[in-house]
Amino acid sequence: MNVPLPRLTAIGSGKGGTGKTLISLALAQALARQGERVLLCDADLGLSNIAVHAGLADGGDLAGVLAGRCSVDSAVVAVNGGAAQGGFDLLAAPAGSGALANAGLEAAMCLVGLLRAARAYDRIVLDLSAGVGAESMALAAAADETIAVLTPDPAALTDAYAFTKLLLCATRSRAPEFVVNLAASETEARRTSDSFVSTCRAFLKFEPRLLGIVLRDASAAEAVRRQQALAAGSAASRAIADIAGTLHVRVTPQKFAANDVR
Amino acid sequence: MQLRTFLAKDMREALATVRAEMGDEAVIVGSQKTKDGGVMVRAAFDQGIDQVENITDLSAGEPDDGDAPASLQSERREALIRRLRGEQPRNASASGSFSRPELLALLRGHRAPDSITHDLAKTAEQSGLSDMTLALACALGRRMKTAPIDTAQNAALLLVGPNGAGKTAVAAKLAAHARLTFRAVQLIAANAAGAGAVARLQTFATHIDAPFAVAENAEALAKSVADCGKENVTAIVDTAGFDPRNGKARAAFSALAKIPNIQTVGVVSACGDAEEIVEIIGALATLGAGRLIVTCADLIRRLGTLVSAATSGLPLAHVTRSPYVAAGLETLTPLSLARALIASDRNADEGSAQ
Repeated sequence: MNVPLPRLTAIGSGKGGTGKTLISLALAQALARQGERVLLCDADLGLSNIAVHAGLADGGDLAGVLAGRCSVDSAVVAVNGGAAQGGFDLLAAPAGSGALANAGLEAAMCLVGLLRAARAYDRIVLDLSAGVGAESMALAAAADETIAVLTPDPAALTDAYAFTKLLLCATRSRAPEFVVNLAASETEARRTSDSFVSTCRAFLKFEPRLLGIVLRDASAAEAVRRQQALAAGSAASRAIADIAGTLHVRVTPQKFAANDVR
Repeated sequence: MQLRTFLAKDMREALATVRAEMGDEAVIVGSQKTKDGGVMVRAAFDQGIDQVENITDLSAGEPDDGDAPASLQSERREALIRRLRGEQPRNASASGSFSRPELLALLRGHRAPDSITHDLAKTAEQSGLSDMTLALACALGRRMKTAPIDTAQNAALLLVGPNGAGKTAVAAKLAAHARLTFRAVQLIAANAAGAGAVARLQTFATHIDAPFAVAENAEALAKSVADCGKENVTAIVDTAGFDPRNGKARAAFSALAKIPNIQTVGVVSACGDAEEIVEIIGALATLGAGRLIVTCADLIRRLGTLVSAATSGLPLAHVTRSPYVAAGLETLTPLSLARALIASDRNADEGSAQ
């Protein structure tokens, strides 16, 4: 039987502080709830902190994977039961160690190759580092789909635009979809979305697609402080579940095709 | 990318501010009403993808070679130097290193006056910059003054210069630029030498949808300018061509230049002798010209006149490179002039080799 490669979904932003890591965590859990076997990889090779957000003591051994000391399967940490039991797996470098600070472009491309070969998963969510460094852009370009997270902050819009432009240059044709996070209202989120789309249309001749809106949610901020997952019934959690639903539909036909019987 | 937010009392004022501060190519990407009844407009400007050079194709998911990070860094440095030089990527052939004899030869090839040539070469050498374009730009920057015209200001503009310099077309370009920024403007023909000249300016005024008037003498012009000032309208005054080096002719125009609230702008053509243009600009400065517009830059291959005009001491407002009104007015910077001098020199070399 032809086992499909895992689908790589990269989440970036350009600017830091847009809520990218929280969205990555919630998205990984939401995709797992849809039935996908998900690996969340902290692709911030310099400052890994996803395990801190998840309240975990250990985020796995990404440094060991890149150094060839261990396989992806043996380096991951199970979250909420792990990918085999409705949760997801996490692969990160130790928080605060800076172990991969100078990993470089070669390490990033090596990571893509290793993740592509991890066929135990349907989906790998890559939480990219902030900024538009060569490593982040290489990972974004190598992914099957890229999601830019932006906020109503004008600086987030310009940085997301830079991220989009560089991705278009690197892939020649593929721009990211985007999520508006931390908007105070639906109106503000739509305004932010319109500004971003207008800017890309005017200068890049491309209209990025709005994937979803996650409004500012007090319970999300509390979850970050407590190093806990988003509350299941919170507005932010529901919004991210909707985004997961959109992404999940894309992977489903791929799975059916691989297992199809005539 | 530039992204700026403007607050104004209404959309018209906001759009005018956007165009004045960010240029005509800025795009409004968002607007909303403010609580005090005004508007908030967000505008963006960017060069688009063309600005990004040397992006390695990373979509394959595999590194091209083992030392990619180091080579990428050095490629970016090279790309930056190329961008400053103004070259197209991946076709740089010349080393572009500074050499005083080469710079002297280059400027002489453009027929720049000897006095300016030696001064520029000396300053370029003293700059210590190893790149030819940057060293030349540095030397030009020491002598050039630029002062683009802001048509939104409440002052009349009196265009003076020799016959055939392109004053009427410049008047139309300035008026069109003002209209694009929602500025009320009036075109005035003063000291009109012939019916044809007046008719041409009137035709431009009709196209631009701007009011037109004829001022037969200095008194009539002073009244028109004063009326425009009261109504917050920018008056752009076209005049008949004359030789500013001729004392009698200059005296006839001095009455116009002394009208209150009028700024005299010299207009000269780049088609001419590089030393003679220095004399003409000097005479225009004596007449009271506070800045300069150089026309017909698209018609010359040797740029000595541009070098002369740029380093004459009179602030350079704009250059024009097209007879068409919509093509507008460009601003010449030391770097852009240095690029043009070196690029046209290379083109000439390539042309002669073929």
